[in-house]
Amino acid sequence: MNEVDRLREAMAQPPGEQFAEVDVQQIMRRGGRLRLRRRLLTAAGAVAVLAAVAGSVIGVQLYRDGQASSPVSVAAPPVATNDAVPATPVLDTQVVDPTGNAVLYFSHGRNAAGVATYRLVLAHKDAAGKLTPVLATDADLTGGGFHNITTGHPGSFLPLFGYFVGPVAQIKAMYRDQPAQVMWKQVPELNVAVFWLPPKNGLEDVDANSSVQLDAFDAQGNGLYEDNGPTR
Amino acid sequence: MARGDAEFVEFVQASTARLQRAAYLLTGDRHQAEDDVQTVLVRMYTAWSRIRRQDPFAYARKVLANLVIDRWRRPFREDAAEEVPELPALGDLADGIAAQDWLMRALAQLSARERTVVVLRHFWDLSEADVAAELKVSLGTVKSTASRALAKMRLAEGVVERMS
Repeated sequence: MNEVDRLREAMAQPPGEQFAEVDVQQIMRRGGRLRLRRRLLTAAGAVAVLAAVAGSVIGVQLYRDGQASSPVSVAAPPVATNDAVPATPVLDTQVVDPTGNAVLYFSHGRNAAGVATYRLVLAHKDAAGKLTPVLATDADLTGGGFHNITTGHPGSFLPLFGYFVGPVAQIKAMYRDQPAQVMWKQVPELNVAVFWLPPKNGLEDVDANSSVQLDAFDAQGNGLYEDNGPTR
Repeated sequence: MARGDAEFVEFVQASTARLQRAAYLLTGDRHQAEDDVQTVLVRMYTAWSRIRRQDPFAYARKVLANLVIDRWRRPFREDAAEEVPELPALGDLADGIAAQDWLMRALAQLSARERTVVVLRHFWDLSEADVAAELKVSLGTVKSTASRALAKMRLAEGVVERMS
């Protein structure tokens, strides 16, 4: 027998000490209480996590609702002008009516106070390339977000147009709870994006009393600042 | 009584004596051993629905070993022994009680981890690989710890040589 065998033999011998008997009922009571406490803690943790997630989702939704998704009213068409010379590239909306293609551009002008400003112009461009302004609105390029949301009806077939000041990667629109197609083009000279809604998806009946929801997003899909109402 | 509870009672009845013996070898104190076994069984009952279909005895062994090692790691602990025990007279070796006394004095020379390795290896009869897995240490650590522990016991007590 080697030393390890002898050590094992000594360990296997009955102990000199007499141990007290275990109270299995007491063990089960204590174990049951411990188990209940752990389950309650686990459930409380799960509820807390759920509440935190729900709070975050609701918070983000509220933030987006508050920041980037407010419905805007469509402005009444302003007085048409005849002296609006393009100061920026002429944007073809591809919307054609009996008097030509509907185009958008900025022109120089003066506001009611006589201060020099830009104006957003909706015009018709005929086959010869001649521009006939239909209407124009004074443009405020200082604040970020949607501006000059205006309907081209009834002088044009263009239901809605305007511009967004600041960088934007995507613009979405909802009309009567349905998504509506939005077209836009950047005007880098003025750091704006001119947008318009083609006459489809029910937008043919948009007028000055209509309400259209517009949302702008950056490249990561985050909602952007938006604070527009009627321009006039 | 639920079926799971009945199985637990059976397990307690079948395993308590061996658990108490192991706890005593690990702690060297009867009351501490009784308390530790009580704690192990409470924790087992808490997890019984999960472990009853596995290896409850292995679970108990692991909980007990970790309980002893964790207590040793706490900043305020009592040292198992600070002085080398006196060697008994040769005539006492025939007495089982004296042999137990020697064994406990020799184990008291070891650290908690050394003691746990010795008990798992030579009382529970686990392989070195199983001890390593149970304590979550490397096989090399188990080998060196076991070797050091046996050397300590041999040098400090002369237990192993004198047990024959």
